[in-house]
Amino acid sequence: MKRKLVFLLATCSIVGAIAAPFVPGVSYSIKEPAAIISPMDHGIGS
Amino acid sequence: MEPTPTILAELDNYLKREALTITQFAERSGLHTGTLSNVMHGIRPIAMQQLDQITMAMGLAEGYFYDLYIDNYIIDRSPDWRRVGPLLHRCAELNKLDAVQRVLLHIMDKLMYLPLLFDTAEELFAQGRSAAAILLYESVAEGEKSQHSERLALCRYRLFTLGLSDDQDTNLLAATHFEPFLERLDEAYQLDALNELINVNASLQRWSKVEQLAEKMEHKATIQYEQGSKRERAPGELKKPLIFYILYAYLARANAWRECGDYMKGLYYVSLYADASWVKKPSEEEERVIKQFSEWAEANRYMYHLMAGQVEVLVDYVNYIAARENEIFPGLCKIILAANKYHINIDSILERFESYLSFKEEQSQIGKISQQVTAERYTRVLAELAVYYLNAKKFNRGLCLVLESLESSIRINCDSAILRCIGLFEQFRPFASDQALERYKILIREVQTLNEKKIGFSTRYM
Repeated sequence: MKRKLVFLLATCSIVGAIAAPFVPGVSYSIKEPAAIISPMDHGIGS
Repeated sequence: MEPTPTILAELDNYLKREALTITQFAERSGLHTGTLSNVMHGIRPIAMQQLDQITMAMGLAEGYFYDLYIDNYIIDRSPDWRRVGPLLHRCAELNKLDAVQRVLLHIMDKLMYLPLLFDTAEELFAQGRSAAAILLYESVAEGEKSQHSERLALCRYRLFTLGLSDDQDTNLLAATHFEPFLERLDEAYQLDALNELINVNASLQRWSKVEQLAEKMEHKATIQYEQGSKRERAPGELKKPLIFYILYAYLARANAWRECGDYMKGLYYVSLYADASWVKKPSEEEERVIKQFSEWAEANRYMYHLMAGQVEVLVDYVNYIAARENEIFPGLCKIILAANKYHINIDSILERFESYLSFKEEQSQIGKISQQVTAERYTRVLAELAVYYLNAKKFNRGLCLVLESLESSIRINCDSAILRCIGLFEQFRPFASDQALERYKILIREVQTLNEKKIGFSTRYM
């Protein structure tokens, strides 16, 4: 039970941090992620 | 108390049951009558090949008697490498890993077998029998007295490469365990080991480690090159030409510096691998390497400008990758990222290269791309493509891609990628179809299972 609560709390924290309420007629866009993930260069992995 | 079963007793019972004489069975099995008679009377032990012939002649499955053979001839007697060696090879061939483990547990007390076990491990490694090779390398590593022995370092290197998979946690552990042994490796293996460590760390986005390792690789490869080390490789030596390690070190350092935000330093290293005119009289293979790095330099220059916001280079970049099939998938990854960052419409580009947006082994002109790097790249491109479509209000397609990225993130066990997908899905949950919600529920259960494994609890409550 305790483990379930901890997991739910963690998930809710993530959802709460980024979910926006759905309002009809309002335009919707994604928030910028906290860290911009850059692509790896051509050739990396050779 | 029942007597311990023996192979000879089983054979004796068989002959009686089938009413066969030793001569008749010898003919059936292809053994010499005298040899079979000596074996049956316990005058000489059964050799592996003889055991296989006897087993086949009795109509039994290959390896049927191996466990009994271990009891009768390895454990109950003083183990002899003339029997142990062939037994290990045959068990490996038949994937009887439990049998391999039993043999190893019994003979590990005898440290004189360590060199022989190591040689066998190397043979199995060369044959691609990885699971059995891993067991042998682990035994040798455990039994090795000297922490600084080259054999131990080579065992650790083999275990590192054999332990790599799609799972990022496993890969991080493998790389961390191996790295302290790097300098103890024979010089012949060090450059390849550094190459592989760089690739694993790149797939884990550990760029400061990539820079550190690449600097080391550049230094070692340059010394070898300047000392006039043989540029023609003998079998068993470097996997690639020596100049590859120097140029790849520059490429890895360029990427690492760009990741740290120092574009100028990144471009400096790009210029180093773009121009390999310092290579005197390059061989055909070296020419191929030089050409490939020169092409990568051009592609990466476009990419650096694009990621820095110079959107006008996009057309040239697309044309460049379109002419080089191996560069289309990595190029698309970057274009999609730039499209999201600078709000560029790339519908026509996505339509043109749709067939390249799938997970397959990446190649270059000089070899395969690391599977770990490809898996990470694919997971990320799915998420970025999802963001592109969600921003364009194509919610169905976007959410479908989020779920695909989540599935891939779970497969490679990347926490940050998993969290990103969950975040994206939750943000657009109101637009999700029932099918998408159902699939999401299933994937979240997998995330929970993965998480529970990591923190060591059971999932009974599910």
